[in-house]
Amino acid sequence: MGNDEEMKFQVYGIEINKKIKWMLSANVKVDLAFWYEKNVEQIIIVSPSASVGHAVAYIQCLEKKRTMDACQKQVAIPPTYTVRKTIADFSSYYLLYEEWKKSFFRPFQGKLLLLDEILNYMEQQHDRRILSKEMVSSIIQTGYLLQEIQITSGVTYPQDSLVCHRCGSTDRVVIQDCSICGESCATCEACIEMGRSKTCTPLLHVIPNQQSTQGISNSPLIRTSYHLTPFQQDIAQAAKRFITDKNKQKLLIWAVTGAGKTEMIFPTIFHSLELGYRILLASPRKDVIKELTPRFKKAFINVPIVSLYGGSEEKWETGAIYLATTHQVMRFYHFFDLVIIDEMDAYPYHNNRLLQHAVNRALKDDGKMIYMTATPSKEWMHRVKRREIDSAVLPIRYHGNPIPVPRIKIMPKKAKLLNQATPFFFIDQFASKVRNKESQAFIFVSSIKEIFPWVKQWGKWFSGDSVEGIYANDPNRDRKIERFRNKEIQFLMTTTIMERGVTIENVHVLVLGADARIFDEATLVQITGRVGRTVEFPHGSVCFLAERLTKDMVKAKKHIVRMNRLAEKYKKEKKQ
Amino acid sequence: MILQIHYEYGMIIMDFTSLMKSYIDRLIFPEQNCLLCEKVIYRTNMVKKKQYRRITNICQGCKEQLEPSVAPYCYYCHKPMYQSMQLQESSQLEDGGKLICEDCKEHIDSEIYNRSAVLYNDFMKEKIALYKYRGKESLSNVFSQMLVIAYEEYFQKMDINMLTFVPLHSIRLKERGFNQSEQLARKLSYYIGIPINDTLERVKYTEKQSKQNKKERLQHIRDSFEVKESSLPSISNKNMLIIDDIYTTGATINECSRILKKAGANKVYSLTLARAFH
Repeated sequence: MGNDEEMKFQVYGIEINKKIKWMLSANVKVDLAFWYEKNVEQIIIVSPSASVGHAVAYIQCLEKKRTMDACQKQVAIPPTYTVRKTIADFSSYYLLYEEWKKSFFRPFQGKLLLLDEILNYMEQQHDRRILSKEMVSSIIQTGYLLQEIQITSGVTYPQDSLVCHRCGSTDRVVIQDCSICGESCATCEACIEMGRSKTCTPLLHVIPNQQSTQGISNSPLIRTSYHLTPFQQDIAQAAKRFITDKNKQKLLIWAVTGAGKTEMIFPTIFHSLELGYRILLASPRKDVIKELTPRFKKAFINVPIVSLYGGSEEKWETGAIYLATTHQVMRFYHFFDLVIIDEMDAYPYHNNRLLQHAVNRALKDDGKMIYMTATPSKEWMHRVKRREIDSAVLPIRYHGNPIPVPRIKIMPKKAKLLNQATPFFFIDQFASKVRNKESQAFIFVSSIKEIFPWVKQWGKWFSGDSVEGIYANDPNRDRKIERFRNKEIQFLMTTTIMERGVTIENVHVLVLGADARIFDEATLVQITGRVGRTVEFPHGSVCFLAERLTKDMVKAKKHIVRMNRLAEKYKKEKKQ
Repeated sequence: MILQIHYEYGMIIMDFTSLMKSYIDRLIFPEQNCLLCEKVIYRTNMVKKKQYRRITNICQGCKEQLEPSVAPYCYYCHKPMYQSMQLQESSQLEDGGKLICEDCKEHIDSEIYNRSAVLYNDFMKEKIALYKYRGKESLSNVFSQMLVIAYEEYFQKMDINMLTFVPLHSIRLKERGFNQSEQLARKLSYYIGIPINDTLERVKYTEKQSKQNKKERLQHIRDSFEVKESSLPSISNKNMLIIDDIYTTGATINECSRILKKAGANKVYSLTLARAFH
């Protein structure tokens, strides 16, 4: 069938226990056979073939107990009334469906997929000729009748309020003429990168098995050993208790940068795996997912782990643990028992209603959610204070040393500095310090435009240094990070992309122009958290240079000082 | 059962003060996202290429990436020629100062007169793919504005009576859902006020041209268009302008103009959104 022809749907009613039940049909022959088995004598077809959005809107209207006339007017369906007798022979359709299920149930289960996505995948796996339109529609219809596949349209019918069923977007849905269905139908432009969601494209949900980890390798869980400090163990215990407590649904783990959040969550994941849970770890950043995947694979031997991000090759794999960017989570629907969100305050998840909706939707109704962050937003702090949400706080780094406190210095105007022949005193001091200690440094600037002037100027000032600039769309981004890790680059000029999820030992940080709007409290705290993350080099220097003092800079410094003080207190308590 | 997806409307309703604040912000400083790169637009009109200042809905960064095909270009097909200019200064100049590229010299009988809005660089490649294959149809608003600018630069003084567009085969149309050339032509017609006429019909199904070389294209495209019988009388002795999205070898445009001239059109020009130049 491919994409060439659109799948059309019809609406019919059947009488069960003196009640009329309205059904959707992609292929009426299957319905006739199915209802014959259920001892229903006839079905009444009440609509011609229409696009899926049309048919769904019609059914929803009929189910509100409106009269058929009113509904026909509302969704502009010509009056139709055909009675058809049911016929035997459902078994052939059922066999076909079972065969399809054998090879395709696992990659599709729990996902919300457009018909095109399903067909494209099936085409990749099989020869195109096998997939006739008749066959695809009968398979889907059988699944629908057996209540294993749910059908809806990508976008609601234009007469209702316009909502994209896949991403939940309302304001970026556009009504336009469509040559596929020949009507005017709506397209969602918010999630168009993942395939076109329209009123006339069916959106299917393959309902997952009851038992979550069925089909996963039967070999026993191997508990790899990893070291946790007593402080980390406290948090791990709290998280484990949260998993077993049936009344609790959400937990916030607030741990400072470099506290070892990922290791802390391992015992919880082990415990959930034993319970047979399906687990999702979502993060807004692709780099974080890429970094976590090998660590998880090392820790969870024998457990199938799927890592999903834009351009990932494991898109159709199934497993017990899923690591995914928040964008990829949009494809799942009521699938996970435990969702862990790492770096929940990072762009783009922070303040993005659609992504938050997507993550909430991926969770089962009785599932559990763990949020992890080093810098919770104001709103979340309030929630914690009001005890709306359970929280576990860890103010101490895993090596026990305090976080380096940033020094705040005022510098002259940037334009002036960029024309100056000799380096500014504090920059010079910082650079020589880095050189003397034979370490490396991140230099943060506020925007991409500033990178190249500063790289050039740095080269003029300190001609012996190796300096490179890096930004989000840099084609050599990965290679530059790799070179920085290998210590081939000493000074890396960067935008806020390196603010989180990066661990490099023996590194110092300089922020040039910390008064820019992009450097808010959370960002500055995260930037400070890049320093002193390993046991060998637990200290380092952090310097904020700014033309003027901003509230966020002061707040960030206070935040770190406060956390350090808290850490001292914790240590004392533990000793006693 | 039909899948019923419920939305947590609680999430949308923020607390009252922040709601009011965002509402007033929107009223006084309406925030707009760039159609091409999805980022918030801060400013748009500091672009060096002055002609692009009037395009709405896209940000400055994206405007900077648009490259028009500037002065030394082939008179017939609008191919940029600054490289070959340096190699052989005067030999290219024929026909009273007209600059003609190698390809057009070979097919001098074809009489193409093509102009393109921008060059088909990597940026445009990505955006046109987003428009054509992913189906982000709102991009037609931006592209048609680019066509208007090109039209005013190259065709304003000419006497053009009618616009037409390169059709899609009905199978391809069903697959894609819209004809990008038609969409662009209709919007252009709306802006410049010249009537549009659906004159051509694709009668031969061809594979996607983007996967073929020049020779194959010329072979496959032959006889794949026909003029619709109903529009035959309306095109006789008219000056026509064909709209298309990408000009690569000129095979499609050449074939279309041949058919139109055969059916009685006087002069046939073409305006395309992007000009491939490698």
